[in-house]
Amino acid sequence: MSAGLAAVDDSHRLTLRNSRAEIARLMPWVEGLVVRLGVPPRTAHALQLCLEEAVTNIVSHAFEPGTGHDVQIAVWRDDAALHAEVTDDGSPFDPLSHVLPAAPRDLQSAPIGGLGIKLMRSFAERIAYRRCGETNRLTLSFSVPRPEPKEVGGPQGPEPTRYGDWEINGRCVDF
Amino acid sequence: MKMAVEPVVPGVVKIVLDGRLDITGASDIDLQFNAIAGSHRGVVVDLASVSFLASIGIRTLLLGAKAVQRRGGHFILLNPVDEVERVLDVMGMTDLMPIYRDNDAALAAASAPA
Repeated sequence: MSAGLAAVDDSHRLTLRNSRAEIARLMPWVEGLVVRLGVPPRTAHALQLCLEEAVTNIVSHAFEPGTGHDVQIAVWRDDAALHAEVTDDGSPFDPLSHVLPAAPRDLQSAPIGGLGIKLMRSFAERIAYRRCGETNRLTLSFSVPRPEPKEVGGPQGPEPTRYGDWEINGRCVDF
Repeated sequence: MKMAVEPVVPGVVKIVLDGRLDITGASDIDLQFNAIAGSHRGVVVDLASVSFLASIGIRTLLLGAKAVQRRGGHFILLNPVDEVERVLDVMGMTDLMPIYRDNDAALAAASAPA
């Protein structure tokens, strides 16, 4: 994974300052990026949701009030998955150690806190957290469904086994 | 985030939201939304034009629903798009706030006596 991150070019990286106003820059950037990376809508939505929650959490809770810090976001894609890494130099916080509230039974007892962490843990396929020196590193991964291969040229088209014509049980159906 | 308020019958309103209910969107509407939820016995929230719902927006809806229910009223969600409904579902909100697909049925349910 670190090789994947090292190869990420600058257009896949964003640095925000730790203010609420800066969070408004995050979503337009992510929206442009998922289009460039060809991410399907459902995966794109999960990424947007998790990044919004992760960055909001950091900006709201990680730093001493009145101090200026950077929050860095990188997004990259490999064959099977989409990955995002969020780093900050705030106080240590592992969202995986947070105990999730039980599903609320009724409105009045439903907690209004802890919702963001629950969303992240529900919508990301995999979450990893590391504290490296003074830095929090949160990595979120989302599987990207492979598109079905397209038929080429119908039954008259090229050799069937190489062009997405295999059916279930290994029977070729392009005859 | 835009917010329009349409009176239904005395004490009952429809709130039409339009935009992203994220940290920016929620801060745009929170004050007005809370004031309305705190002063009506029936509230229908039309979510058809809400394209994105984050935890901060769930908090807005949840606080509104609590306020309405505390006074014995009805807080109803109308027509969320798929992504928004999935978020509500995963968070267990669909058990707490009924979701309607039909405008008239939603208005009738919100107007029903406590």
